[in-house]
Amino acid sequence: MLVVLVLSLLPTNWLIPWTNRLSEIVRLPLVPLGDVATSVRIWLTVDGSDLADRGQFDLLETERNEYRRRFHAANERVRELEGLVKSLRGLPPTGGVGEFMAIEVDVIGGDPSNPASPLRVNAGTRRGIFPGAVAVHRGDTLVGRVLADVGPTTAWVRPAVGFGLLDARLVDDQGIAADSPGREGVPVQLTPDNGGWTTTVDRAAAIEVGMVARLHDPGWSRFSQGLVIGMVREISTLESNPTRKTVRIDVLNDPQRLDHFLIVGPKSSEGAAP
Amino acid sequence: MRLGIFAIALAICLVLDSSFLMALSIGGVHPMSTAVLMVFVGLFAPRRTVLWTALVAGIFLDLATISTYRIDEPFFLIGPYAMGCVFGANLILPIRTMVFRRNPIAVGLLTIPYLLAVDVAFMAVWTIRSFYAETATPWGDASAASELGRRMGEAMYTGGFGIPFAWILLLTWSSWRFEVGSVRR
Repeated sequence: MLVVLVLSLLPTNWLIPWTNRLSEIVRLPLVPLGDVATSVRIWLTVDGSDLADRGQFDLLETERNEYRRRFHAANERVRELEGLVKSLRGLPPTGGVGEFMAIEVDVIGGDPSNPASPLRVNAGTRRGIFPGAVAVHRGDTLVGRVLADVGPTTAWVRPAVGFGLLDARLVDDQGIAADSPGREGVPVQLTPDNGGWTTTVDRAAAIEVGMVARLHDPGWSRFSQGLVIGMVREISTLESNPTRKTVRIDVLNDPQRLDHFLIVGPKSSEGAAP
Repeated sequence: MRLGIFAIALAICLVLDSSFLMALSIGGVHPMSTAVLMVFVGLFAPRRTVLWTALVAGIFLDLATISTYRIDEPFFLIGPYAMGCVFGANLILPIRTMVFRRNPIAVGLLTIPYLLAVDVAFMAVWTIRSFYAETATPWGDASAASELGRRMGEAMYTGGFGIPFAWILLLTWSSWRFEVGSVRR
């Protein structure tokens, strides 16, 4: 008991090197059970934000028709681009982002009561995961970043909302490449607030509800730049300064409700990101 | 008491606490099956065994509770739950002769003071550390009083959850091979 008391009061630097390893070893046999239990939990729970009223249903119907129109337009565009790809095939690769790895992982633990709480995933250094790699959901949504000290079989991913201030750009995402001319978006600095972010912008800035926030933060890995981190949900005039307005941005997918996603980072030969 | 059965039960409870029971979360509060298990063991096992199992379960809980150091470094502190569980076990031991141990309601209700004792010790250790260590407390920017209030809610929720859970545990009572002479039923 005295040993435990002393351990609990030791400086953090003395504990980090070995308590992480010990936790990894102790939790290793529980990984399969945790994976199953997390899947069952997500299957059982209903996301309250999924429930919609009449007005939202009408809006969804309008959006469905709009997206159906865009789908057909996109199909036409795909056919056109396929022809272009055929003509471009055979050119040497540009290698813009370099060699990368993408590993699908399952969430085996987390704390849904806290949106910023780290998620434990069932992959570690043995599968090529390194600190700083980014977690991506459905190809375009940033979940978070792998924390330092990855274990051989498990790793911790902290949601983006848990990383303090973030630099981002608010863009009107119409499925057009964000780097097209004139589509740079409005640069903002996001402050974490109650599971999402808030920011203030000039009143003249062209920002509307439904625009998406894409990460443009040099402190993050190059693989995370341009990924969606949230959506504008509310815009209101700043009471203390009517020339500015406050923008509320919510996460697109609650990280605590995900049971699997991709970890993307440089290949091990390139070293840890960023 | 058969330690193998305890180890299996503890493993299941740790998994339930860290993932599945989040499905029962109400207002950020979810029940803690490990506390119910510890009260169950505390009611039937010999004193020495109760204290050792409480210490082991507490260490496992500590190793499952992540904190972060300097924003992005995961960190596990051995002690808060370990001492809390032993403190809680010391609270249960004198009371156990006064209750009907084979009654699930008794197990559920005893879980409330047990978990409060665990939480008080847990918060005491983190509060002491916050005076000198660079690690943030698990309750972050919230006040210790609000965290204690949240944990009281968690204790009461666990007490209610503990009644059906204790009923399940009591169904397995014969497998545990507790050495009890005259347990009040």
